[in-house]
Amino acid sequence: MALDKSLVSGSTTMLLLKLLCEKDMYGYEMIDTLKARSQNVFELKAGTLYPLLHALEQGGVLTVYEKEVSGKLRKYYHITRKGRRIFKEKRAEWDAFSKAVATILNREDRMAGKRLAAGD
Amino acid sequence: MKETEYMKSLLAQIQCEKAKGMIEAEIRSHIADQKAAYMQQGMKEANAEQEAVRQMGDPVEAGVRLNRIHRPLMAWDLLLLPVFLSVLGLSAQYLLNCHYAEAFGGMMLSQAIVHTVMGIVVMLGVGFLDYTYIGRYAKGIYLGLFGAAALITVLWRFGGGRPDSIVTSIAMLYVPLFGCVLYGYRGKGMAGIVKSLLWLLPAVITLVLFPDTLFAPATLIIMLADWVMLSVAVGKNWFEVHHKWIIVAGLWIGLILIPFFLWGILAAIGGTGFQEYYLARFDKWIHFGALGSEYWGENLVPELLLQNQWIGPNRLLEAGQWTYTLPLGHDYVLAYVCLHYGILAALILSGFILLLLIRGLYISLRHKNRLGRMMGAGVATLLLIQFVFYFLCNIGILPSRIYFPFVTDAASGMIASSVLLGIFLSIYRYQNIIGGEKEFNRQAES
Repeated sequence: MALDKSLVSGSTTMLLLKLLCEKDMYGYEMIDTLKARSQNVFELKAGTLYPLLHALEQGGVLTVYEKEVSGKLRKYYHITRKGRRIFKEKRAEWDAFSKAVATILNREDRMAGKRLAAGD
Repeated sequence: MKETEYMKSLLAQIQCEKAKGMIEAEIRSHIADQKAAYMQQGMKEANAEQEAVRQMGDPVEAGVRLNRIHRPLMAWDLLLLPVFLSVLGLSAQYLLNCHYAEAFGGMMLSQAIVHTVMGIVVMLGVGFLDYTYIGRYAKGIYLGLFGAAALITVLWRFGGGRPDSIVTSIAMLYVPLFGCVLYGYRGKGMAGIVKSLLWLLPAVITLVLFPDTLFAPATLIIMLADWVMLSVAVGKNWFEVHHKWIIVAGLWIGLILIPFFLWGILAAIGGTGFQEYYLARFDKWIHFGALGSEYWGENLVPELLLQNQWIGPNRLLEAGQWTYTLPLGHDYVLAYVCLHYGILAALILSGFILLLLIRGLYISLRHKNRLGRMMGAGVATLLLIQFVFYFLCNIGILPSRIYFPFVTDAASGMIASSVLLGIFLSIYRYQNIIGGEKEFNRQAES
């Protein structure tokens, strides 16, 4: 399912930080993991990912190091203490936001159901 | 679109040449991973490459966004603060020279201005230089400077001059280079620590054997800064050794024992004469104020601390009862500012100096590359210890005198300090351009 870009962009940072809270990852691994976990809903472009990762690194949210894996030198991203704090804040914002959206949508659904039952 | 075309379009958006290599390597690695994944799913190589590149998105958009991040930066505050401090220090020295010509021995304002301008040019020059080049050739530069110090010592001695201040200034430059040496011995175990200690020998020789007289404060300051850096490197497990804290403790116990060792050497070289001289100095120091001697330190503490005012001149000075002849004014500018303008003025001047050094330390510690972090933190540690010594000398607690940039006029000292301050500029300038490092023991370091 193709999603409206603006719907995804606001939460991309939070999703990346979530992945990095679990373990250090390289760019391709992040895109691949997001895609797999969202069952192909989140297909983040690398052209969007790297500027975002580099900006987060510049802001002290992430640090990078290089590691050789199977003869290939990869650039791994590591979340800092500041990054974990930001993730917690973003997560709380997201929970409040999604709860509010769900409450409104559920109320609309219930009212529509009542109207249907009443035969309006 | 092919991979080469994609990379060409993306890299064309990035202005900073130094950043291109790091970005290119990461993006190419990503495309290779994606391509391999498609080929594993059964795609042919050409199709896999095309699809992998398509998945990357718009190269121009990505390049423009990356270009915004990877630019050389100028730490304007770190450039303007030294300029401001130089103007402040020069003005203070000039005005004090008018009032205390005997102590200052007549000041050549034009010469001091030339030294200051020279310092700013050197600072900017080093600031534009990529500090990783210094790291790459650190050992060569270190030995080159050592050779220069040896040559200067020989030439000066032939000419009947004293090489002391120049060789001491050169020794200050060893500190960031020692940081690079430590960085080079990462993962080398105890052998790395021993080799690092051996690299201190040129510094010890420069400070102890080259000058006419052993200048204890400079030796102590430089050795302390080197020791702090070595301890941090061991503590951060750069050398990957067991019992790192026992080694750190051993290093500091060793440092405390060195003076006793030197004491023995002094006795062996110069008989009991040296010992008597230093014992007499120590005696004067602990009895400051009681002997009424000619030393600045002895006179200063009671008069300066008790008779100085927060704003305005010392009370004795105001009442026309100031009878002391204060020698070597240039090394006591802070004390003279305190004496003539009041404690507040001296504290403000000290505050600006500390602000500069703490800002330099902050920038260095935030740097992502450990080489830059160690070089910058080493420079900040050196200058902070130097300033503490300068301050203690100026309030008479330490019975000595020491150079400090901005408040003392000296050509070699100014150039050495400018190189050190330039390293802060370089670290800040390349913070978003210098790439990451090879894997290191992250858990052990944290």
